Amino acid sequence: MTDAELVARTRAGDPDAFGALVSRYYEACRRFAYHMLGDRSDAEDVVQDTLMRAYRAIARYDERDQFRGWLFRILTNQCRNALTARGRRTRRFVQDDLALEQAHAPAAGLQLGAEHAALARAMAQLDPLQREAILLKYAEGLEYTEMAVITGVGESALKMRVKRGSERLRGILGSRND
Amino acid sequence: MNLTGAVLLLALAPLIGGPVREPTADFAQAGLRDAARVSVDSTVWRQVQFDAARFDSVTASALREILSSAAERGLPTAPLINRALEGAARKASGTRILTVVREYSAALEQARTMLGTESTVQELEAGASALRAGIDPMIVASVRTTRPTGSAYVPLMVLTDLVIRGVPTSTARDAVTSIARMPKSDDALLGLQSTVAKNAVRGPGMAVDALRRYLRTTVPAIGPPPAPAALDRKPIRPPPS
Amino acid sequence: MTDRNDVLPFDAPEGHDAALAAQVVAMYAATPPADSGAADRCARAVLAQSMHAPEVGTSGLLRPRWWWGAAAAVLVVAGSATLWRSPALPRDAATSVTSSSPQSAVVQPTGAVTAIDGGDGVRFDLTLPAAAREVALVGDFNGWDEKATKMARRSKAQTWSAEVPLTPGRHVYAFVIDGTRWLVDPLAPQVPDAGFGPSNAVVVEGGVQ
Repeated sequence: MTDAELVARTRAGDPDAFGALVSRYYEACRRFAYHMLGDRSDAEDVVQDTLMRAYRAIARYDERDQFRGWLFRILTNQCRNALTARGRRTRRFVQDDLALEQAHAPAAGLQLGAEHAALARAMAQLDPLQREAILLKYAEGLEYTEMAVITGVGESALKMRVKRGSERLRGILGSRND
Repeated sequence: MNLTGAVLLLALAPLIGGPVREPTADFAQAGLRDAARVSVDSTVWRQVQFDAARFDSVTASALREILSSAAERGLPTAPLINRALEGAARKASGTRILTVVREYSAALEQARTMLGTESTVQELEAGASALRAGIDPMIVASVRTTRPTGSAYVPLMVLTDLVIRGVPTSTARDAVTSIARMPKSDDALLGLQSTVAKNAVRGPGMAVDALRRYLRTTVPAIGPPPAPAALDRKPIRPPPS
Repeated sequence: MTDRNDVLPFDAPEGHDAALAAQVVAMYAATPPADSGAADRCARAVLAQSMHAPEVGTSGLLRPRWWWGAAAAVLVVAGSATLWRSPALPRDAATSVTSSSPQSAVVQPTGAVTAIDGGDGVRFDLTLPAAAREVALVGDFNGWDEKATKMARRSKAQTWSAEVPLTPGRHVYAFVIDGTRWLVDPLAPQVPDAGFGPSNAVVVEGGVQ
């Protein structure tokens, strides 16, 4: 069944169709969010927010668009929001070092294995928009035209972000190899 | 012991050949209706009505095995019998009933690992529900630390409900644990659940907004006031007295 | 460094670093996967929070769907403790309107559980948005037997009630309409669907917190 057919069924009220769409795209969304945010729990939360917004907006989805691109537009927005909120967020709750509770998720690199840890830590130091562009271009393998539709940003600017982001990563990784 | 009684009842299920779809008057009269007093732990006695006519013999014998296995592992059997009865009442197939009971048994065992062997049956059931809702076992365990001497089932129930309604798990966990460690906070926890439930239907993000508003009025701020972010121009709100 | 303009004065050359790209791809591929049920749980959570307008069955009743999110846990105080009261709890509301889905507002059943004055036990009330011939309360406390606790229709047309001697603690329950349709209280705490459908949980206080 194509994405368009699943979307049509979802609009008609078929919960299994939506479940199938989620199955198709959950892991891809989660993986992107995981590398954007560097935190497994945050990534899952953002993906859930994304899918909820997608569900509510499904009536406005145009079948001529690629579903993945449409979904990723929502996802990248949600990732950006999460990063902005993280910068502003303050701990309202009691700080408590519970023996069994993870107070802070470890850096993504630690969960990826040593060989990728350095790169993951370097990615975390990038400007979020550069990180986003690098993930879309290198990791997701998208063309700049597709990235422009997803991010709403012009191709030239996206190319610049990838270029500068790559240079910065090289700089960070290079200095680590000393 | 109680298990023998349950086994006998199960073994005497009269229907053979297929799951019970529609309990007819004949079966209701012919089947056994008996009260099996199930002793679960030293503090809780539950009376479980068990109508063996509601299961076919294949399902009944499989249930017997699940129950005896659970009992051997020291798990309470009343919750498992209740799930089986619920399945029969909902006209579920024997296969479905067995799957649910097996999964519930595993969830109870994991809940016991996370919550401690001294936990009451109700805590285990609430913990099992939380696990079945997809809540991470470590988070279930962290709820226990908020109630080292008291009962943990209300925090677990509220946490489960919030997650089912779509509140992100970490947000729900933070909210529930911050309230639960306050004294006599069951009322406050259920107030949180009620507020989130009513607001969740109003739109996306409304549940979390309501949760945060509720917390601000419920949990006294502890710790130094946060430094404002560079772009945050709002004045720092003094902690509520 | 953020790029605000989407038009640059020059056509930026692609700074494609193939070796770096390969490293990123490898790192991406090494992402630890989510557990197998994560996608399904996520879909359920989304659907639970976004209730469709339910279809109306031929008899005029709302048909409960497995993903009707909302089990309400109502704290019921039995015995000597005081009754907990939420100021916003709609005890007498016949209907509550929800509008979380792209479609129009839907009418939900409303439930309430209250302590019986002076006695042991609680009263379950359920207000339905449509007519029913009979309503039964089922739960762990009566072996899920529809014949055990039939609810009585109160003078208010579509409100049904039943009184049950519940012991302190947590109890799981649901409602059966006309012997065939299962219903949950949308605002009460929910017990996750384990394969049978959703149900509610209620807490009867009376023991030590």
